[in-house]
Amino acid sequence: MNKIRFGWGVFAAVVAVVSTGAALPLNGNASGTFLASSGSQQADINRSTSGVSNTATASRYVYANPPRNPHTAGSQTVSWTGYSNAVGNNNCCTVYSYNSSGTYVAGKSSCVTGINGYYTTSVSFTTAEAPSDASYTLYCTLLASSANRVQSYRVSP
Amino acid sequence: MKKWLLVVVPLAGLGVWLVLHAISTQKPHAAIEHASVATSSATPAQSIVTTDGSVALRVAALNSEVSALRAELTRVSQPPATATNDSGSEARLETPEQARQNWREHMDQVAIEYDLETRDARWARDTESKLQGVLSASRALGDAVESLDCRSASCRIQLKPSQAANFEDDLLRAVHEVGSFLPETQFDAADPGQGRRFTVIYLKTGAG
Repeated sequence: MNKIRFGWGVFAAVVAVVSTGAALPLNGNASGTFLASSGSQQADINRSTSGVSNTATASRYVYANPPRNPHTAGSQTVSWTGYSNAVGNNNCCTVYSYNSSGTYVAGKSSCVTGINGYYTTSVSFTTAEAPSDASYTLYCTLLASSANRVQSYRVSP
Repeated sequence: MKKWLLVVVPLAGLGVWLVLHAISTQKPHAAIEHASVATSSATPAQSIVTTDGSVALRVAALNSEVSALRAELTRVSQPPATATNDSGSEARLETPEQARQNWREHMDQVAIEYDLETRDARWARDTESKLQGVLSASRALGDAVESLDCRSASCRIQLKPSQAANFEDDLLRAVHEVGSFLPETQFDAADPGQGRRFTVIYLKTGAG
């Protein structure tokens, strides 16, 4: 009897894991993929499971290349999650799209203010602004003294 | 008794006549039904006559097949490069040539809209000053600025070609830095001839 109950418990646990697994973001944590825009400032960038931050006393810029599904076409949305230590912080990122020739096509910026904690924001690209062969660069400001972080990103669809 | 017969006999005769008349005027199909056949929006609605509805069902089935074939024909006649996105709907992948053409048409429209935009002197002057400050912070960009012009919600910057190693990095940083008040950027190229080729950047407020 106990074996049967145990069996149903295992079955329910497997179902629960499988059903929640589909909702996981593409990049649960992408801190390792961010690089400082200036090579000499890499040492100022701190990477942890909670994102990337800047330990210097002046702002730094970091970038990453959010992967996109190459088999999708049409308008797309690039979103990212960050953390702000203070309401007065201006947390800005810009997403650039560039085509297969390496030519920049469009840029979309989003600045989040008035937040003390995690936030998620996004920008959208039309079909013309993000052609099928386009790639993305996410370019963010990391405020001085680890006042903010950028944690993860995703492209949809 | 005779009086009663005088009433019954004519009534019986009248009844026989009514029955015979009804039989002679009856239509070949006793049960007449009008059935409306649902059709796709591409064809007008039809009305047919049937005895038991089987013809109507058959016509409806044929219409359904025609609609399916029409949809299939439309799908097959499109270029084969199709893909399915996350939502399961099909989206067409354009070729690089089509993408360039789409972008050219888009940028032509952006240029037209910019030329038609009226100039708000105060906003334009303030925004031009901010942009000039950001661009001048980079020697590579400051030297490359050919023209800088703002209207009421948009600005256009023309940059000369630059061989500076940090030109592109500085340009991305500059566009990012003005992103808080000009969050929409489009990159284009202009070729006025005589071997000159400019990078043209349109920056726009988020209001539309």
